[in-house]
Amino acid sequence: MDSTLTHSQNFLDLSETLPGFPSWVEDLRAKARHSFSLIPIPSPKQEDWRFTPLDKVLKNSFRLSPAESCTAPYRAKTPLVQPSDINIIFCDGQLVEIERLPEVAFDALQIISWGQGAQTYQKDMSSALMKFDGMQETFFSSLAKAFFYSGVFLQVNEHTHIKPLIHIVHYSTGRIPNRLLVPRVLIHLKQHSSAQIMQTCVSTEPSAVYLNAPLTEIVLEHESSLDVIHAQNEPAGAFHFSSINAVLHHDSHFQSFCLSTGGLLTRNNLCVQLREPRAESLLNGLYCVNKDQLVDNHTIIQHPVEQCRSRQEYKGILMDSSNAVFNGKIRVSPQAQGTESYQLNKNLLLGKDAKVHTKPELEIEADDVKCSHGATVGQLSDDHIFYLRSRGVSKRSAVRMLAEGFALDLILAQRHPDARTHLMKILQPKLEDMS
Amino acid sequence: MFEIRNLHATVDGHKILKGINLKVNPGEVHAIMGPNGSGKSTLSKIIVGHPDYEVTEGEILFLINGKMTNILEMEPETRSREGIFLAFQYPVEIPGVNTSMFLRAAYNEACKHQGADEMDPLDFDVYLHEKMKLLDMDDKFINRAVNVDFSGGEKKRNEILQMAILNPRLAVLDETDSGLDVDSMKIVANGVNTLRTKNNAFVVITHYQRLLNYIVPDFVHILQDGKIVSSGNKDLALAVENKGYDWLK
Ligand SMILES: Nc1ncnc2c1ncn2[C@@H]1O[C@H](COP(=O)(O)OP(=O)(O)O)[C@@H](O)[C@H]1O
Ligand SMILES: [Mg+2]
Repeated sequence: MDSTLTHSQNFLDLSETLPGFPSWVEDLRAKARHSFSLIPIPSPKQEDWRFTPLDKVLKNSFRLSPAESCTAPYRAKTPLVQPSDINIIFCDGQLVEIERLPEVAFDALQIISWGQGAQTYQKDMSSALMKFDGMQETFFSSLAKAFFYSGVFLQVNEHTHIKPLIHIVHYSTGRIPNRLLVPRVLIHLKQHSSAQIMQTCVSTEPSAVYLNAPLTEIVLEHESSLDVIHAQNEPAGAFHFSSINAVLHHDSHFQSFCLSTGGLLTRNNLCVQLREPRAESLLNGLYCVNKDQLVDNHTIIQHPVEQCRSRQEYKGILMDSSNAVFNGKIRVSPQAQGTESYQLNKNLLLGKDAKVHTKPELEIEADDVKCSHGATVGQLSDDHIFYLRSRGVSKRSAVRMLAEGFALDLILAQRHPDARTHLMKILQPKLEDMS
Repeated sequence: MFEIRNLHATVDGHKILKGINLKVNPGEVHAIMGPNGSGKSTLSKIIVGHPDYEVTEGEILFLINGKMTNILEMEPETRSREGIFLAFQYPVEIPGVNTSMFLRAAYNEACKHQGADEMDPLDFDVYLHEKMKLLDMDDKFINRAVNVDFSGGEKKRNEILQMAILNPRLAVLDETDSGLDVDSMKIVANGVNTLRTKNNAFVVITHYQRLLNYIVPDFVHILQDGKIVSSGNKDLALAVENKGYDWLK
């Protein structure tokens, strides 16, 4: 605990006592605190943070306040979120409700709070968590591991296919100012299973200021398949630092989509390890920001073994004077022959003062690999705008239609229809909000 | 209802139009013919307000609320909502923008502008299918992105579909027949003829007299080097077809 004081003295107040977990989790938390104390606060001097200055974050003090329970009517005033068939509700970083269809039996799909799961499913949870040993920690993933106090464990049984969309909604009420939120989600798909899970982070209070650092850990056993969506539309003054780590076993399939529209500053760290042959990942993302928002996506794909495939396509729409950062690392180890890895980052600049820093980082040590990367930064075509205007569509609507058209293929690629609907509900109002 | 007076225009400092005069009354069909590069597309794009062209002299008047009004200062979308339409010679492909969604948005913009009720998606779908039938088009046209992966002929037909949906008072067709086989051309011509009323007017730009057998013009104008050098009835088109343009100089 002492070693974290250095951080506490800065922008994080981590002094509150955390509620107790079973001892094996306490041990993990204690270990994580030690690791956390060794990680310096991000600064632009670090290569990974060069274009993402944290000044605006650091001048606040965000407080971990686990004792404050959530009583606010969190569902009010959030038209962006529609109920799904299976809903897992967090309010101000705490798991408050699990609603599930009676049709989906508990032995097919386990959804349980972290604390309870740590008792009932200790073996499943601890062996899943062990898979992440040795995966590179970041400041914020480490923070969540060290100080999380609420979370959910989802597990899909062998040979089970969950059809309804599982929707995890993180509401923030802003009732207590400057909260630090560290909800933790662990997803375990056993062999030959599949599921589709969406996480949405929103606020019921447009003026709320908080720092949300959700951590999602995913383990796909062999021949399982998971679609994961991480969508955030945090309020204009909030900060969002998400970490998603995934480990894929042989013949598993992982599809992720990360939508960022809100927050003053967003950083999404996604790290995928294709640990066994023939695992596949498709990582897509869309960011659409305006005013002085900054959104940063850092992805790391690790190919330690042969015959795996990964694909990434991130698109950005930047209005006004917003900024975006995309950094995609692909690491192919010497023994990872037959690797295929593609990466594409396309940006549409709608604002005169909008800026993008995009950078692929390929570290390829095997010789029989197919890898490619590309990045584009462009503007809308005047011919397209004129064509739509000549049909009576205003310039503003034409720009909105074309921007939506730019992003649409990625949203339509989502396999669950409810997910597509949810995503459009978040994206469309954002595109209207252009000055 | 529509009149061009002494229109001069430049692009990137080059003089393209050098004093065009044209008067169109309701119910009329005017054909404009002329060699490549004579300024036909330039004229049509200026009518709908393309920003690349600079009008240096003259005016374009259109009947709006009972008054002949100079439209040169109007935004392209306002001209469209007032009932001016151009079927482009080279329609652009617009990835990601769904044709039927875009058409409904465009149609409703015009309704709003004219103070009429907007059409809901279901009614619009019926209306759209009615017009598609007129042009012998199937659902694949409207379920795809605007013009993406359309053949040249399909793009031209899509332009006429948009014209049918928006039902303009003045429609300019810029070489809509180029690239169409005879059957498609007949379908397009039939569509135009069905849409003709005593209240609307068409300006049909073409290279080939052939189209004018199907869309019979009241007047034919020959445009050369940015000027209308000759006007007449449909026989003028035949004469040009036989003798070329040089004898008119
Ligand atoms: N956007 C433009 N930029 C430069 N020159 C142009 C442009 N549009 C047309 N022109 C020139 O203007 C002249 C007339 O072109 P256009 O109106 O397309 O003729 P037409 O349609 O009769 O074949 C041509 O010499 C062409 O090169
Ligand atoms: Mg032309």
